[in-house]
Amino acid sequence: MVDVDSFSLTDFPEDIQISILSFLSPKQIASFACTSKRSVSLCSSDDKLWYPMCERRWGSKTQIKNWGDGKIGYKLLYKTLDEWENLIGFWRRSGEPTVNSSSPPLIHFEWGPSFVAASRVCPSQNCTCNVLKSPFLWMSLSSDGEIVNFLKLDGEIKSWDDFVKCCQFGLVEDLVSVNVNFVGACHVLVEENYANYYQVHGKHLSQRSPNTVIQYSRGDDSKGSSGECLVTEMYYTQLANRISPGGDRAWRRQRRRERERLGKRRWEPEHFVKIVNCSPTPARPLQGLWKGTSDGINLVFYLVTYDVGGIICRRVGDLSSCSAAPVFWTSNTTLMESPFSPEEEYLYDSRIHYRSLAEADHIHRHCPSAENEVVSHIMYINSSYDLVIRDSAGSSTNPRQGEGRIWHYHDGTFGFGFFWDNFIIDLNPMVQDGCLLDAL
Amino acid sequence: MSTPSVSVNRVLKLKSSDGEIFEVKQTVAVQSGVLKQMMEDGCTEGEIPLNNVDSPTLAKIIEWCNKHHDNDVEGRVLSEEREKEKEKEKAADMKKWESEFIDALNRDEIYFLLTGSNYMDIKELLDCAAQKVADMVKGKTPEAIREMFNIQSDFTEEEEEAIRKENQWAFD
Repeated sequence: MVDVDSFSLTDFPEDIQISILSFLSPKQIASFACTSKRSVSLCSSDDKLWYPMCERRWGSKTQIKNWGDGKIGYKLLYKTLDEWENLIGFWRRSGEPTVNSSSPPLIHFEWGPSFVAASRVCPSQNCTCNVLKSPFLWMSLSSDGEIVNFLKLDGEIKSWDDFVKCCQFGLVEDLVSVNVNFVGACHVLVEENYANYYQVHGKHLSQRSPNTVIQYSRGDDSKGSSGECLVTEMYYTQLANRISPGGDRAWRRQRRRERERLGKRRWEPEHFVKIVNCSPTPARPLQGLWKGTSDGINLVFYLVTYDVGGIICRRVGDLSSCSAAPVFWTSNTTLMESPFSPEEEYLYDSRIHYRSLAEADHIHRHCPSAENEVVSHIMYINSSYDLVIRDSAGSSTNPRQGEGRIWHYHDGTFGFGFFWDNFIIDLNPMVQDGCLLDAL
Repeated sequence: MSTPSVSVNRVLKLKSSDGEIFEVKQTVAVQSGVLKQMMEDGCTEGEIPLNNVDSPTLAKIIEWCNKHHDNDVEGRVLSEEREKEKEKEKAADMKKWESEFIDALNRDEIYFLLTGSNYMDIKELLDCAAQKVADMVKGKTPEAIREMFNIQSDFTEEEEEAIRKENQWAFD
């Protein structure tokens, strides 16, 4: 480096200084701010620095200017989105299902225009490979910068617009105010946000404060049916919080009483774990979320994961259970290339394909008939029964029964089957470029 | 690029601050917001003086613009099917070229490039150079940043402590 001291950053026009700062992380910007008074003011220029930073990073995904009704600081927004961005993608429920009737095994977080939202993802029941997607969790910022998260307990909301309207006004009876807290980068805890909790942990949580503005009280059923009353109530609550020093506490007391009267929580804390690898890669051609039918009727979601021990495939619905057996597994990930032996050819050709019906409707997707699906590779797999047999009954059963094959097709999809029957369960990808395919 | 007054064959004559003349195709020059505006206004006859850009810097800027222009033109010839894949590949190649281009420069050259690209309004180049400077800041303490950028602290001791405390908790 020549002439290290020849330049001072302050010689540059402000545009350039801001432009440089905009490529730093918030932490580095904070460091930079500590260098001089001028730097402090540069680093806190919301419109010039933090807005372009938000726009560059998330501008193509969400409408930066519409968050918090356009009334919130972009620095706050950056901080919030920086965290929430980690939510985008697919998550599975962790642990045995609790009493939450609506707790789904698979959820999908996406960007909305001024919110982040999660949908339950379920197989359709109509013999197709369509996937039902129903919005159930909405996360946004109020115009005064408070985090506002709502969860829809039951029923379906068809359109995002309706959902957003409901959330904004808290107008639906089965909406629950929740906190979505990260427990590590790939693990979130979704828990009901109610007054008691806030009181106990208030100090600790105050930065990502549960909203105290909009909170629907379910106890008052007479009011619950009328949106107008609710809004009025909210308005007065908010006003009371602002003007009277004891108002906040009084309001919380009231909330607690309501809760006690209610007598039960509406949403039990639920853990979700991120599904980091949703799609195949060249090195891991089977990896990701897949769907197929194992009986020709019902659609099932599968997750194939690679680890140091090999490949394992499980039903998505079984992922949260420790005891559920895998669909198939192998510790030997070697792929056999064509030409295949006559035995292997026969093994494949003699089988009936199980595939979901709607595939035929997809013109854009390569969809060969059962007879001429082109197999590019074959892999040995084992079924879970293999494990069970060895553990319990010893060698009394035919050891080959649990053996199976994966037939990897030229179009990148694959099917699998076992020696105990004559079927091939063909799978289709659920996700492409991070988006859910065939969503209804 | 669809500006009617821009023709493929016409060239602009750019004059650097030290008097050197550079010829640039109009189709390349549109990457500069300033030159594009001038073309639209029809005032690009004769030499265009760029008083804030010296000849080594202008040469670099033109090298950048030529490379990006060539890349764009190539892109349009491709068939639609393979376009997506090719596009990705090309983007990666361009990223590589850009980082080699920037890494080959010393700090002074980068600083001149920042001023030059800002003056000529070439957003992508400005971003690339700014990114490079930002990379140099990464992991540095406030003291090291001051030293690097010649920033004089104008805080009193109390102020400095306060601002550090405040920013320590800003993001963690």
